[in-house]
Amino acid sequence: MENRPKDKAEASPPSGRDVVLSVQSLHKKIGRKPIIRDVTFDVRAGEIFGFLGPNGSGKTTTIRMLTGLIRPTAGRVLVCGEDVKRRPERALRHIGCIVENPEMYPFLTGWENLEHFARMQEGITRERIAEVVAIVRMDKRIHDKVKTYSLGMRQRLGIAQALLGSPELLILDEPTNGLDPKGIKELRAFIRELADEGLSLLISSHLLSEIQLMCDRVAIIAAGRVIAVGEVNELVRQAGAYTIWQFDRPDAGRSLLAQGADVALVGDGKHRIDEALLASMPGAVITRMQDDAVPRWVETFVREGIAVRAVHKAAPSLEELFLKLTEGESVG
Amino acid sequence: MANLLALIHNETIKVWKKKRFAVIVLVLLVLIPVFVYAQMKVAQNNAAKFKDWRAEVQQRITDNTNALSSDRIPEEWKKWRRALVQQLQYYLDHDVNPDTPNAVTFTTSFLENAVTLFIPLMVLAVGSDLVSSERTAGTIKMLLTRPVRRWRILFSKTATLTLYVSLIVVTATAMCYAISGIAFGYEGWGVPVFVGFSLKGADMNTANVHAISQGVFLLMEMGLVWFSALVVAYIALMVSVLVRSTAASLTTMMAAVISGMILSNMASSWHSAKYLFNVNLDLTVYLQGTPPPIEGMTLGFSLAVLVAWGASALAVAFAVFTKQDMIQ
Amino acid sequence: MSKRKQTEPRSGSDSEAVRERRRSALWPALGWSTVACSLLLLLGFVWALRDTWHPSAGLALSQPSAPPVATGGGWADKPQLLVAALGDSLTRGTGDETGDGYVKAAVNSLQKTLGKPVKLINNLAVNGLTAAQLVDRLDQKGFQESIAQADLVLMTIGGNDLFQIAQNGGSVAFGGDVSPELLKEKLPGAEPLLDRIFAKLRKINPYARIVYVGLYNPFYDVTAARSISETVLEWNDYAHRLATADGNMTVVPTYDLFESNGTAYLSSDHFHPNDKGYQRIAVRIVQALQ
Repeated sequence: MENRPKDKAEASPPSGRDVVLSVQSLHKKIGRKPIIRDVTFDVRAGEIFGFLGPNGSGKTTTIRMLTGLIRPTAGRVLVCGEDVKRRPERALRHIGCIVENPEMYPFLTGWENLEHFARMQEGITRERIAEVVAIVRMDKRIHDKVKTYSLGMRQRLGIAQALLGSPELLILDEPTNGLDPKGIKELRAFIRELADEGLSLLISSHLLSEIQLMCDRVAIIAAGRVIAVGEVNELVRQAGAYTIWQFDRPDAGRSLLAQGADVALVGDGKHRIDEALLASMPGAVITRMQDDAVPRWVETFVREGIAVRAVHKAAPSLEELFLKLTEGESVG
Repeated sequence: MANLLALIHNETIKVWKKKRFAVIVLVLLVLIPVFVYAQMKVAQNNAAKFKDWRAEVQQRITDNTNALSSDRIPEEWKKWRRALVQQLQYYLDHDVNPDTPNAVTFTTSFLENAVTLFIPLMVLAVGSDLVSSERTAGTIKMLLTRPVRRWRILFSKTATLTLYVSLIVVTATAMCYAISGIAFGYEGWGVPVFVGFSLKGADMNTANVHAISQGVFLLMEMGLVWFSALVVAYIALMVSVLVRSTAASLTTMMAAVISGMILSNMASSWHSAKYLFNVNLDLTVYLQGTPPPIEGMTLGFSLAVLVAWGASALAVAFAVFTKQDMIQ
Repeated sequence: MSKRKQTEPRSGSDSEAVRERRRSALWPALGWSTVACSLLLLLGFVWALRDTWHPSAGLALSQPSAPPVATGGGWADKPQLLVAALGDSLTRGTGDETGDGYVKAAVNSLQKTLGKPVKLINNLAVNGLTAAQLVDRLDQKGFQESIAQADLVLMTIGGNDLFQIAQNGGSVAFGGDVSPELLKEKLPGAEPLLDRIFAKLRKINPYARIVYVGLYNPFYDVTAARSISETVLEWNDYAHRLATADGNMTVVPTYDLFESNGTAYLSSDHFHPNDKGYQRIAVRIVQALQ
């Protein structure tokens, strides 16, 4: 990563040169069944790109096509301008990846695993191996057999392997799967660190919150189709958030809100807010309103003598985002 | 080229570290002493009965001749016995003991018996999971997302398999010699043995028969065993590419090898069976001059069949592996 | 990813170096040894093909070592007696369920009466062997070597020439196609062969005691085939004359056993003796040798 121009990430206009990964109308049929239909998106230099979709939506299949494990039926994948299907030996040089679980050879030590993958690419020195081991902070256990590693350590070893060839793009498929909360937090920080150094990352997940926390831009995939590409925050904003109120007298609060013109009350069955969240807020009143309307309403409640115990802003769930994005068209 | 060598390096280390070869050595270490002990008992028994090897050989000739006169013996067996009688007679006429009990003869007879089942099974221990284990363990995803073309990966696996087959055959032979030598003595390299017998109808053609030393004979047998082991290995590699799990690929190959052994023993009148690879594995019969499992088989024929099977297996393996979608 | 911020200074850096060295030695060692194995096997393979398709002259064989030969002299002076058996199915022991035949029984009981080891070198008998075939076999090295060592030769021959049952392995239809006339016709052709056999045996081994077990009529109980006995007796007579001429040869008669006892000594094929029959023959052989 040292020899990469760092200012690339900051270069604002996303011209063709700055696109690290270009996915162009990718199709995949297995038998006669179309699994992936016309998937198109770009990943730019230096960004963390989220790849969001529920389980079974075609995320992993797409990622396998990006990394050359599956051949697309139609369309192409360009990594730094090289076609993965035609010239895998050049295109894959720019990619480091972990597809699904970070499976390494359990009968070899961590170091031997790294040596193994280092031999598959020219120009990776012993020093580089030591370097990536240091980056993922594995120095202490690197000479132990991989079968003695915890999942977190395997994950780190997997990342070390992916970083060996100093790639332009790191692809991580559901990287937080199976990690404990602490591990997830560490991973996020680590991913941010890598991005700050100018590496592009493609991270897939089925959790919107995770993508929100980590990514700059996102492609949302459902049923093998990309239904939206854009800034994460923008998409979430479009989908609309809920404002949840908690009063000392819920009924009075509710009737007051019902009179407001800039407020829409949301009925019990109509929302898809996390049930766990609602359980912690008994008597909550769920509304939709513009952010700037909130202070005015607080004032109103104070005036009316209704005590506001809590105002909570709840992001839409992934399903809701999907519904919003696919409004008017049938989701296959 | 440097790249390919590095890949072979990788594969070789993986097979070694997976302790596949260690298991094979262990199996040999347990089984060879058993065979040696059994053979030693036979030798002791013969030594007690016959004070001269000529009397023993003559008795074998007579006994086999007697068996020939029975109507109940199938024609294939008779053919085999007739050939044996004529061969033994040749040894007796030329005053050469056909089975001096020593480590070299023991090793050659071990190879002759191991070629159809034992050696192939050991080869399968390495060959059957070369590709399928990477799939089962999921490591194939790491392996194939590196900037290396798939044919190079499979080529390195094929080369590694070839090297290990060689190592297995040589190790089995060396261990057999070393262990049996304790019981039978390590001499016998220079003892003459006759080769070049060929069957013409019911009669043994001895025109081309000539003597070579046991050492050379052993080397030749090793070469022939190696060749058929390689073909088994390449077919196992193909199955390992086609079948996803190691267990399934091992079972498939074992069934193929064992059914071949059964078919050869049936010495069937089913003539087209001679085009199956598993009936042609025992190339040592041509060297020994024993009748082949099915009439009309010759060394050239068997080699052609084996080459055809091995080459097509490799072709299928490469064609599939380079195009295959790694879905799971 | 900050679980292990910094590693402590490594305590076992020595073992690290050792491990490193071992690891880097594994590949060259494996690589070179497997390549060497492959080349060796390739050499063997090519050699095998060349030798099969373009046979070389082959190894020069050393001079055959002379097999031991019997020395003659009295049996009493010898530490052990060597026996060779040859002939047809009677000597092989066909019909005896125990598979021993008269040969083993005779050897065992001889050992007891002589009080010294008696060893069977070989039982060279072949089912269905005719006198003519035996004449040929006596030219074979293996036969000669065994016989040359022997102090005693036990033999039967001629049954297959007279009864001509060799083709079907010894099972004879119940006297049906055996006609006394046919037997008589065959006798003159068979007799000279017996002469030649004895002559050859003597040439191979001048000292051995030869015991010839005489023929019998297995169809004595079949009235139509009873006259076969005449021919059998004539044959035995001829053998007896040859034996007398030789001086060191005995003919052991058996025909009376099977005539006086009917089928009690015959096996189920109605041609070969059963185990009792063989026992009786053995007893007579031992008696004849005392």
